[in-house]
Amino acid sequence: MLEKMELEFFTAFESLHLDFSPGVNLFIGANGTGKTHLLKLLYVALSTQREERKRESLERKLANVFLPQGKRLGRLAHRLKGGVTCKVHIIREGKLLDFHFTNHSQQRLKGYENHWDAGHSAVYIPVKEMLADAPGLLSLYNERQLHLEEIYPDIVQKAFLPPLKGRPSARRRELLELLQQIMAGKVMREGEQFFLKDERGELEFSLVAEGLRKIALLWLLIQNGTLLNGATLFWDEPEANLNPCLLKELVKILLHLQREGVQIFIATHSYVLLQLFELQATDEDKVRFYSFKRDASGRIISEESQWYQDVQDNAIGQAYDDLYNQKLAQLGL
Amino acid sequence: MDISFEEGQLHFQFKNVQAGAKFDEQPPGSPDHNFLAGRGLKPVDFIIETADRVLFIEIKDPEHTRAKRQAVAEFKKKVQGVVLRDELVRKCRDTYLYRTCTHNLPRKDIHYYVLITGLNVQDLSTLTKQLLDQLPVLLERDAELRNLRQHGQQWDNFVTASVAFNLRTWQAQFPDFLVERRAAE
Repeated sequence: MLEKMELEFFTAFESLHLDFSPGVNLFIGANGTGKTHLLKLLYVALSTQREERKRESLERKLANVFLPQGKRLGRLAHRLKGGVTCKVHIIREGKLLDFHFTNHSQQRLKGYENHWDAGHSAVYIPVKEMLADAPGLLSLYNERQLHLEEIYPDIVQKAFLPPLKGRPSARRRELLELLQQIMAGKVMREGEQFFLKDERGELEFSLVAEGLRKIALLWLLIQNGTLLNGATLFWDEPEANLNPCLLKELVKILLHLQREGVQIFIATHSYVLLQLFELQATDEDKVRFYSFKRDASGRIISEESQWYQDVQDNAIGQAYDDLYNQKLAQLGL
Repeated sequence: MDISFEEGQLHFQFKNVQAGAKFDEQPPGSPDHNFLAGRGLKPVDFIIETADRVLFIEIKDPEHTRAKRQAVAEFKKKVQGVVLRDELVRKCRDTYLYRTCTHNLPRKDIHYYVLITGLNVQDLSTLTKQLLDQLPVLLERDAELRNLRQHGQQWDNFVTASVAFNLRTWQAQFPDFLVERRAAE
């Protein structure tokens, strides 16, 4: 489990300290407050652990996921006049990953220290669903210099993994069954193309609604064991293209996964999603809300709470405040 | 004149109003005593009359309990359902009915305010919409009003506003209607 992160001068952030929940971590904030950067950074950190040359793989992954111009890591430093040193400090299972670079760094980190154990499953689900675009994507990405964030080929690669050997546990079968009910069908793969199969036949993914393709992706990741106990799921705006009616089921599934030992990080603009987490979570569930906003001087600051109710001063809340006040004005108050 | 009421732990002071009554606790000997409850009518907590409005006010204070967070969470769930909405709607309608039948309702705009402590502004928006849907406030743009007029009918709004507040939005909206929490004895 990821436990805490400290950042200095990384992209949008001057200084940030976050303590994570082992369960569900929900990031809220206006556009441009760095939520997606945090998801990507944590994903990068976890995604390099299987490889031997960890430092080089971290450098490469940072560049390929964030795509700074010329793959210069220095461009990921917070933009200030003069020299800036960017520091990243992440604790996982009580062990440290620490690296830093300056705004003048090229492709190399200035300092690197890693005590993490190898072997970890991390999944990043981007806002844009990619399964419909899967055919040919991996070979194209591996052979050509594409300007494409590596999170996209990564998720396709994970979706392509064949199912795990052996029968899934009862709780996982229950989850898969729930997802199948939502999709009203099963996911099939022929070569690199995905299909949704129901009683009417097989429908290629490019013709399936994007919201349902996201549910299908979750089904694949659970079925093939990518989202097993100990895995980490990063999901940027799960609400995108998903009907609010389906969000209720989605939150149920995510809480279920969290009880199975999957640590979850979500960036969201959806009040419905947040409210559903607060309403559906039991006392045993570990849900934490993080609100990011800019202070008077423009610095991004964070506020965290076990309850959405307690992070009132957030972008979504302010949008509702405005609507409410407009309603009062319309009623003559 | 200024009028003060206690409602549980909450102390209210309404400044510069013309009249006010704690409507659901009428003293013995008064004409309203025991009548409302005994005849199936559910009254609101306060009725306040200002220079240009009559205010029906209902108070719910889940934050007063020891299990504050749980009580507020219960209320948040109720906001999503119909039981709370129906109770609040009934109180407003019954109060209007009683005051109309007793010829005791000045011809002023009627506003219905529901104060529920602990709710966030999203919950208040949801509840306000529910109240506005169930206690019809017809605006000039509304098709129902145009339809009535095309058939030569009149429409006097029964309430002209029905709004849910929490303590923060109440205090921001009504600087002359003070409310503060006083700890129980």
